Amino acid sequence: MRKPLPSPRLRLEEQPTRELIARGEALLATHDYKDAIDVYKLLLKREPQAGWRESLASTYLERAKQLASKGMYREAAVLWENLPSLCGQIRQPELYIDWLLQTGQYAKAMRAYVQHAAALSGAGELETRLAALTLAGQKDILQTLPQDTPLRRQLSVAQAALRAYGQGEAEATVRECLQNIPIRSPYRDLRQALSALLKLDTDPAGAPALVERILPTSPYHDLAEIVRACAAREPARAMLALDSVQRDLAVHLLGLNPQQIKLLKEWTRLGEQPNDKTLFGFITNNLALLDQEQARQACLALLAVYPRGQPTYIKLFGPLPSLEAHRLQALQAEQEHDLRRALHHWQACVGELVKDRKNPDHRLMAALVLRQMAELAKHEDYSWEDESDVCKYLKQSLDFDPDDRDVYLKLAALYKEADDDKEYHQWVERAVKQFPDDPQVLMAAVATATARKAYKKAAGFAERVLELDPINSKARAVLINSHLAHARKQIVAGKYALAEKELDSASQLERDNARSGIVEINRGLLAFKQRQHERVYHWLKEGIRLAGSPLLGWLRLAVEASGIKLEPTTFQSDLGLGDPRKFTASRADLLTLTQWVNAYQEEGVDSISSVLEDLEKPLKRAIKELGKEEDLLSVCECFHQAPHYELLEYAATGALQHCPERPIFIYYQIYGRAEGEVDALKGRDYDRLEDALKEAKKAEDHRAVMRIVHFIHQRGLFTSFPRPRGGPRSMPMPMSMPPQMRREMEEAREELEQMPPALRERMLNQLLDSLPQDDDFPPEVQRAIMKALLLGGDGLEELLNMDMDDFPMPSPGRGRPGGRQR
Amino acid sequence: MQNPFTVLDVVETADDDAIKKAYLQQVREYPPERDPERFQVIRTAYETIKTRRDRLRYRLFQHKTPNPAGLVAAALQPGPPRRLTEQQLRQWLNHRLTSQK
Repeated sequence: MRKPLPSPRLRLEEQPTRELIARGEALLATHDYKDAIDVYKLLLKREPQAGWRESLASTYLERAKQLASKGMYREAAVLWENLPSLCGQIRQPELYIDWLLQTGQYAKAMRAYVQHAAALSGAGELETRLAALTLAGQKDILQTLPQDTPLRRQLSVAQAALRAYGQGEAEATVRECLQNIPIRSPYRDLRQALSALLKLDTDPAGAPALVERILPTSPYHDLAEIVRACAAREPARAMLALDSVQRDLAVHLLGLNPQQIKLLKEWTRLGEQPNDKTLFGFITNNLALLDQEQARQACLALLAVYPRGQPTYIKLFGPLPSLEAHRLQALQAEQEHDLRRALHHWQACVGELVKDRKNPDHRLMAALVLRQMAELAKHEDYSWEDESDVCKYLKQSLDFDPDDRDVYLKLAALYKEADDDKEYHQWVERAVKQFPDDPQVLMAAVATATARKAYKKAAGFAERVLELDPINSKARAVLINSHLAHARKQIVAGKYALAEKELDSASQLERDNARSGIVEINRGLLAFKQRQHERVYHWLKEGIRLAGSPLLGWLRLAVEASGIKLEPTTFQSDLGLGDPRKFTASRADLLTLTQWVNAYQEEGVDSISSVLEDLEKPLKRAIKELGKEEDLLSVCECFHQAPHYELLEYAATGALQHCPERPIFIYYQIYGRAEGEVDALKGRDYDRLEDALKEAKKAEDHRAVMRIVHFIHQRGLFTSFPRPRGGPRSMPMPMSMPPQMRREMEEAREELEQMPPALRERMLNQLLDSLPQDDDFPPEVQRAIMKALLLGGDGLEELLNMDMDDFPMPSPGRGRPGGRQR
Repeated sequence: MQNPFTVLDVVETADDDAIKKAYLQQVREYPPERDPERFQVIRTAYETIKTRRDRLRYRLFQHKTPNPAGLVAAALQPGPPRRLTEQQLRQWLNHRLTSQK
């Protein structure tokens, strides 16, 4: 079926008057003055109504302004000229005169000025322009200036002032002339500009204030900008913003010599962001004019980004000291992301610096360089098989500068991440010895003491933190937990009075607005042990109320009860809590639960997983409602630490719907699915983990990288050897390979490649003969693998594709390849 | 980045006290409410060389393209001040008023 043709639009002339009126109003509202003029002209043709005449006049004026705003002053003036004949009205003649002046029609402008003098309103800006033109010597204006206007009357005093300044009269004489110009004169901007120019001679800093009130529309505004540039702290920089005419005047005012002017011209030609080569060339070419030492330093700084300038630098300033040469090479290598080269040169810098160990600056610089090396090593070293380079460099740095608190804490954190508890605790202890009054160090000490179940020690540190920082809520929580832990011990030991005392102390430390019900629940449990049944339910109900929701109350009750060897179900029916599986949890409840579970986990409470079993269903329902990435991250991290694999996998799967490719969620999902066991990994999941690792490295998501590497290295190192993707899980390589070793292997391979065949064969055999004995592999397998690794990919592929029967696998008693024992 | 020592107008061997004094002096001259851009430059310069450790760190690892504006500014030390002539002013005014046509 054909579409009906649209009804033809009526021509303007055919439209009824009512529609025309509406159209005219609509066009005005949208600033479409051009079409509105046609509409109102038509309306007036039909009926000469006064209101439409008024509208047409306004429309003409607005259209003229619109044209002027586009720089079409001539067209604007023509339109304005039609205004009186069309509408019988004269509106804003000052605009018309200004447009004439803008187009150089001075005689016509002056005639209009005289003719419309009575209708001129707010003509200050116009008169300032006329005054400037008069001073500039425009004859058309001078000849027609009316006798009795301020423009004419004050012209001679303005000219006298200009002459006095320009002819170099004494400051007092010029000031006297300037004072003759009244403050409300059309020549006032000249008065201010000349005053500021005079001030540049004696007090440059005070000059800009004098031109502050010169408007951007004033003819003297450019002069005001020159004054500001000359008075600037760095005139060279300020002059970049001036045009060439302004700059010539500024240079004259500043009294620069020809060489300086040449330098300034070159400098302004460089623009705002010259490249390094141009900049280097600019400095070296103008060395004679610049401060030698500062120029040398600027060139030295440029060498890091423009190494090709080194020969010129050496020619001009002499050879680079060894330390500088290595430092520049290291910085260049860093920029080229060549970390190995950067580390090599930084190491050389340390070598140079320690030659003069007694120099305190050199010692501190050596420490700083080593810390920089640790930062660099962090990017490529995620293996903790041996002590990492990161730790090695950080420790060395303390030999030269033992006063950097952050290094101790960094080392502690690194060892904690690497699950090396012994080193972790030791580094915190060292930090405490070095910085006994530092709250951050003391809080780290609290954490290590808590992890070791040294609650008394933890409480001691927390008390000290509270002395130093009374609003530290973490320290307060630690103290409360410490009293609670003592209370539990006393309850189990049957020392109820002492337990009550500990609970009182915990209660006193709790802030009224932050009561979580934990003390009340413990009071209830203590009452149960004391067989004071009427108090049991009073305290337990109060504890659950303070917990905020039945689910949170149950979590507290279940964990606290198991802490003193009671079954939480004992109280379930009397408390009227109902079936935990039917609880509901809001987002806030879920986030509070993650905080509490994390705190319990830090305390080493081991009943968390089983308590979470009871709450699995309500927690899954609450997790399903989460949408924010940071919430999902907190929840996943909590179940990862708890650990609760099913909830972790569930939460991570939900998170991946929101952030499909985020490596950390991929890791959490796979880790949960494999229940934390790398052996339970499926081939596809291994591939996904490898991809996630690459992504995480690319995105510098260190947490994700650390977690994934820890997981897949759980049973010794798997190395990234080529293996068929998606196929059955290939055999993990039989040897651990920390990055250092991998580097050595690469170096050996490169060396072998460069050798003639005969020598290569001999060298290879020597290397293979020197392999240490391996319990897990027969020597021939070990040699075959090493040979494949050293000779490159083909051999290795061949090796990996061999039938598994060809490889005598170690017996179960001897451990699996890459096994835990290794 | 501008040389922080030049920004604060201190010698490279200046100690913590001298640098703090120079910084406060600069802030008094360019308070943030009056010249926020300049204040930011001063603040960054101070943070870069505040302590001995900072200064050595700057000396070792500074590898951004230096901004030699200060170097050029120092070379452009004004000579004896000169006035514009009457003719220069009239010419400029004429140029200014007619160049907008």
